[in-house]
Amino acid sequence: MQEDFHYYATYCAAVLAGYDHNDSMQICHAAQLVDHCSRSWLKKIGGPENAATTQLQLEMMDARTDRLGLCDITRIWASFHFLPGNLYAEVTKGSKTYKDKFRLICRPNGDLLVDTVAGAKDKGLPAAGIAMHVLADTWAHTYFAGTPSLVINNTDHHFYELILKEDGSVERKQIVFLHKPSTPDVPEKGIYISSLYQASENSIMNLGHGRAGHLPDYSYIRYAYLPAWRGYREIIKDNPADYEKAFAQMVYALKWLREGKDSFAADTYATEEIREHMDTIRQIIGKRQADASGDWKAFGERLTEESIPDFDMDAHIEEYKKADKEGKTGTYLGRFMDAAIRQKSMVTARIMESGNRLCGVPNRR
Amino acid sequence: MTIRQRVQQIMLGMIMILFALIMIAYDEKSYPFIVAFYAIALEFQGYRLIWYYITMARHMVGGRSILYRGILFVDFGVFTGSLVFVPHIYVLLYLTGTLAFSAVVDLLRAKEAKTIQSPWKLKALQGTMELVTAMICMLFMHTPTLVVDVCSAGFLFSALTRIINAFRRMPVVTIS
Repeated sequence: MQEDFHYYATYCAAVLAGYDHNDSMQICHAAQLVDHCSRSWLKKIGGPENAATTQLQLEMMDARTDRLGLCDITRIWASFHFLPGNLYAEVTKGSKTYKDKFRLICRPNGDLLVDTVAGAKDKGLPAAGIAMHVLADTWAHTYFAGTPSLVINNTDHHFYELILKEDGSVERKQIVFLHKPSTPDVPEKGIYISSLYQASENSIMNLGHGRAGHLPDYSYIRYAYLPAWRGYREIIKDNPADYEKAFAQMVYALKWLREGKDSFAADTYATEEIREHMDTIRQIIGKRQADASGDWKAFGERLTEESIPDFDMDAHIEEYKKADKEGKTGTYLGRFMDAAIRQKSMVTARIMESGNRLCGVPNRR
Repeated sequence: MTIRQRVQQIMLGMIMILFALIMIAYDEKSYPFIVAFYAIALEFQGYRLIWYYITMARHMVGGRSILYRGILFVDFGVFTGSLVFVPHIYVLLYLTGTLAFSAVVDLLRAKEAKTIQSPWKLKALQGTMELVTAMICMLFMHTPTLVVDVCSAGFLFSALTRIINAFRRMPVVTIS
């Protein structure tokens, strides 16, 4: 998912969950910051490097892919962007390494999602924002793993966009990916960019949905493809339906974080709370565009009658830099980093406990 | 390209430079050594791919191509090893043939890269130079010293482009 959903749609979800404008801004800022909080950025602001929630393109191009390097990559991407759906999934084939990789495939509504949202309870708004990023990505990044793996994340030429016709029929249009990462996708012309095929199992090109380009990040698209891990059985990914569920689940989760007393339940959606806005939400999600920020922003501003500023990753740096050593943890960024480290430690520990060795040893403070 | 792959490519390039220098210095006497080394490298790569297929890739869509590549590498390795004991003219013919084969593969890869708007010019240049070298070798097959020098120059060029390629950064699609 991109800024349109992580920032603007998360703002709308927070408002619908009952938060006021300022609190919603803090939540959606944290949700979007997850895509920017790299080691390079943390170094710039003097934050702890183990709070990194993403890796920049330049960092990834130089990333080590030996055992330790892979653990580092997996901790970041599995914790924040590709939350594993079932660490104990029954896998009857393949070596131990194959099984470990298979069990990192991202899916919504797994036990780790419950732990993620529950872990953000009473931990402040930045923690809630991080949890919303993780939750939303489980819907967009379904069927891909947050670890470099050719045998899990590869896709091939069998990749079709499913276009709904007015008479109800479905047209299949083959997608031919180009490899020109500096160029943006042009959905109107059906031009999409993806990572290049690399036959090496642990190549960084085989991380997450790189081989499927940005398709999982677009709310409007429906597509059919053959994932490498599914034995020639096609998967149909219905992003509009998934994004709708992601939004409804975010509202439920945020409401639970604000006022929930029972335990957080997976597979539960705040359909009632969003019912009156359903047409607008469906319209935004279904609109064929690479970036829906404008539409979500307009919707959010209609909800609160407040102006939503553009996302600025450096917005809270001054507060963090000015605080003394003890005071840093109380700042917005200090709380964000604490929540990020907690999330990474929790996911890493769960992966380790399952006997999976792809994450190494958990970072505990 | 991972750091390990980069190191592999650079080492391979340096070995090719070494081959070229040995061929220039010792002419035909160097053939058995080069052929033996080439055979071992091919077989090693073949067994590595077969092992990857057995443990991981056999469960992957399209994974069988990795098995086929592994078998081909082993097959070529065994065949190359058998050339240690044949007359040098055949060895020369074989080395020229592999150069031509490598040229065709590079040109096909360049064509594929161009289709998907990926960088392709260096690969195309490499393929063209290899093809030209192989053709000159064929034309002057009966003048072994000249052929050895041309073949060595081809190896040197191939090695240098491989090393340059290893230092190039391959852009990754940003995942958000």
